[in-house]
Amino acid sequence: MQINYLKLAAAVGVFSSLLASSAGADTLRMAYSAAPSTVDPFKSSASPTASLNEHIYEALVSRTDQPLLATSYEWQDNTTLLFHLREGVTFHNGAAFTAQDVVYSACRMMYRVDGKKNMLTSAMSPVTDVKVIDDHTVAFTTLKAYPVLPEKLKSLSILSASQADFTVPLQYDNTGDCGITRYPTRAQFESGEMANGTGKYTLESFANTGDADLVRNPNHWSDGGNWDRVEIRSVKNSGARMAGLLAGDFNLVENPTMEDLESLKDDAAYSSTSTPSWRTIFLILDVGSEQAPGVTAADGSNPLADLRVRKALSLAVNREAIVERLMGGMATVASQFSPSYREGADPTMPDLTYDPEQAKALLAEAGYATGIKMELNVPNDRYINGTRVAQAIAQYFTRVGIEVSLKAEPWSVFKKGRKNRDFGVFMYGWGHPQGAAQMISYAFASRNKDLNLGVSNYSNYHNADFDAAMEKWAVETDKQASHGYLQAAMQVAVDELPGIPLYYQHSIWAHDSNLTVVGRPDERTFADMVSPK
Amino acid sequence: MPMSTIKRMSNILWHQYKTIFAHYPLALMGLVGVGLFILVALLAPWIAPQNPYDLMTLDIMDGLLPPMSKLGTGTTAWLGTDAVGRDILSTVMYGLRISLFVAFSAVIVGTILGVLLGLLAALKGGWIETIIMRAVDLKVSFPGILLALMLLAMFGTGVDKVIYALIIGTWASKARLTRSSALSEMQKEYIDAARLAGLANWRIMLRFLLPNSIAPVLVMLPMSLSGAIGAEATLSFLGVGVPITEPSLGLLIANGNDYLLSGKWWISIVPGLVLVALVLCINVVADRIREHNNPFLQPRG
Repeated sequence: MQINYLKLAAAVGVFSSLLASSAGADTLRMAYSAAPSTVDPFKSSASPTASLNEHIYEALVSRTDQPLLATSYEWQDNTTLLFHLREGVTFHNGAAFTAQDVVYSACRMMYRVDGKKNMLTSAMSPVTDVKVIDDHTVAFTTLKAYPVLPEKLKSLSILSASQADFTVPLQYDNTGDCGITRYPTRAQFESGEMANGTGKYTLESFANTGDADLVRNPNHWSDGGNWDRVEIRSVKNSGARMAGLLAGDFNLVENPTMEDLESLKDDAAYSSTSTPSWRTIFLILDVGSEQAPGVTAADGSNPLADLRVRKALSLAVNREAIVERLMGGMATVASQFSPSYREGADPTMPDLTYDPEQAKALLAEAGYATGIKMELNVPNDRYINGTRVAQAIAQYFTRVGIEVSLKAEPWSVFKKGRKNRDFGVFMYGWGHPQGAAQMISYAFASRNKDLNLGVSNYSNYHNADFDAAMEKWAVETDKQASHGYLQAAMQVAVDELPGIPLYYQHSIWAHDSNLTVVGRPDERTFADMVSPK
Repeated sequence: MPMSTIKRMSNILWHQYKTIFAHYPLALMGLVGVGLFILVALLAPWIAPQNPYDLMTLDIMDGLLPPMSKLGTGTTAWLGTDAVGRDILSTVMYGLRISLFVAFSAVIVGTILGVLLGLLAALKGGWIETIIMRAVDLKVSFPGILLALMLLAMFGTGVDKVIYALIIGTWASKARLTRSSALSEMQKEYIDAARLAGLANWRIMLRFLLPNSIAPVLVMLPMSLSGAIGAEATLSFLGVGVPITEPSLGLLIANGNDYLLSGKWWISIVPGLVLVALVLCINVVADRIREHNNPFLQPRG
């Protein structure tokens, strides 16, 4: 019998090339841990939706302050913010990008579909006008000094005005009417017809399950995307997500559990990347109420109103042990309420110390050596290892003589209790996409509607020095000076402890070991943070 | 109660025990197993090396230790520890306590409720019977776990809430069973005689109807018990049952579930095996009792 080796070789060749193309060295398959809800870039700032939309649309400036569609920006005066736009940029449909597109996108952001707010409806309300200066310069005018505007505008995706009907020139008004007769609908976005951004990838298909297929935009103004094709799927269950990675369905998965990572350690085909994120995990204490809900002392007072008690709580917690034992080292011990590595924060602030003996002494000095009962509330499905950390904190508090009962509830139940102010002590996490002051400006400042301070002051905390620093911060357009005010306020918060900072969460991705992943601190997953080795 | 009555009662029980379990070694082993589990559960606070519900005695530095490791306090964790430093052996003992307590209370209360409603339906008839039996139909048409999940979602979690949810899960089948056997008793002459003697309804119900129609329900009891243990474990596994700091067997299994892939098997395997053994023992006993009471399976002789 004669074997035709040539044919055999050819067959093998065809077969292996088939294999290679189906394995797709230039296709990236990612599994998100939650499903993107829409391709409409104005609706939701939730991380999975924003992650998907970032592939398709771009903002003027990136969240990490890199220039995107604007090459630079400056405050012309206290109330006028100038953006100098990049030239030679085209949208996916071929239309050229000009200043008019920025005005159009700002109008769309303010336009309420069915009366519902968009992600920047409140944040952009101080903006009185958005004006085309020339084709590549645009000016945002505000009612009064509003220095956080550039940070807020990092979430303004730019859409092409070429697909809308309006009368030229476009006149901005903050109802979003702007003389525009028709905006793209959600269905038009999701069919891909109007999903027309300048991003590195164009949308090929989107399903209402959140599945999206994207292809490389060959005309992007930079070198363009790392991948010819990107497929995004969502798998909510972490075990199933990991199984998908091991089975080769995905090249990269979000948020593997610590336990999964441990099992991955011995496998050379996979590795993981961990990046410190902008999310701080902390406890909020009701320090201002006569009676903190769920917290009682023998003498009927609110023990949390006593600074010595708060200091004792902070000293009682061994953050080092939590990070090492419960988080497997994938977290950073906190020194303050924003991550110390976030721009604007003081990176030299000392770590908060652990000293249970001193904690007991402080409690005794305050007259609360025994008798404090505390309900500790925590969402059980929101933060990495959240319930285990809460149990550890309950242990530490118990050991200095506080009677703790732990209430772990699903997020949907928890967030109602928080909103109704039913919690005297609760565990919470806050990302800081808008800078190091984001959390404390909302959570610890006295309510100031004009300056948008203190919206979430569940601590009922009021301190004149803190408020003064925050009020100056809220109107300061000079970066250096604003960081100074922020750091002064942060120092007060850390001295006075209206909350207890615990640690900074890390974002983790598990992936094929032939990929290089440069993780992002803002908890988003973007195809171009991944590249083949 | 006079001595003679107690003696007679214990004689009957002994006789019953002998006829049911003698010559059936498997069932006897099951009975011994159930006894042991109940004993361990009752004595847990005295024999467990650690009180896993006392946060004071726990240390996360002792977390995730494999079996036979030494804890910071010097005691040995024979079966290892979980993530927050609970000794698995002690936690299983305490968990057994909660699981058995929840199951027993739910089944006892649920059975009393069901039997009384079933008797009432049989005796009264008319619209009372209609309401009770349609309520039974409604309850039976829902999957039990789904109903319990809905109740717990509405009323919040906690040991007491789990018991309520399980009571609502158990009463209906008991009511239906009691009613059907009571209906057949109602046809018999002694009930007519009692009626003619002018006895009150409640007296007929409790004095005559109850003892004569309860046998099938009693046969079903052990089965319900193991069902309730399983249901409690399921609810706790799903995170809507007992509090996280006072785990029952189901919650223990859920805690360890995350670690199965990383080789820390002891956290969920140990409570899992205990749960299986407990339910198995009860079921073996239950099977034997059911067999004994089945007229078609009576040994000829």
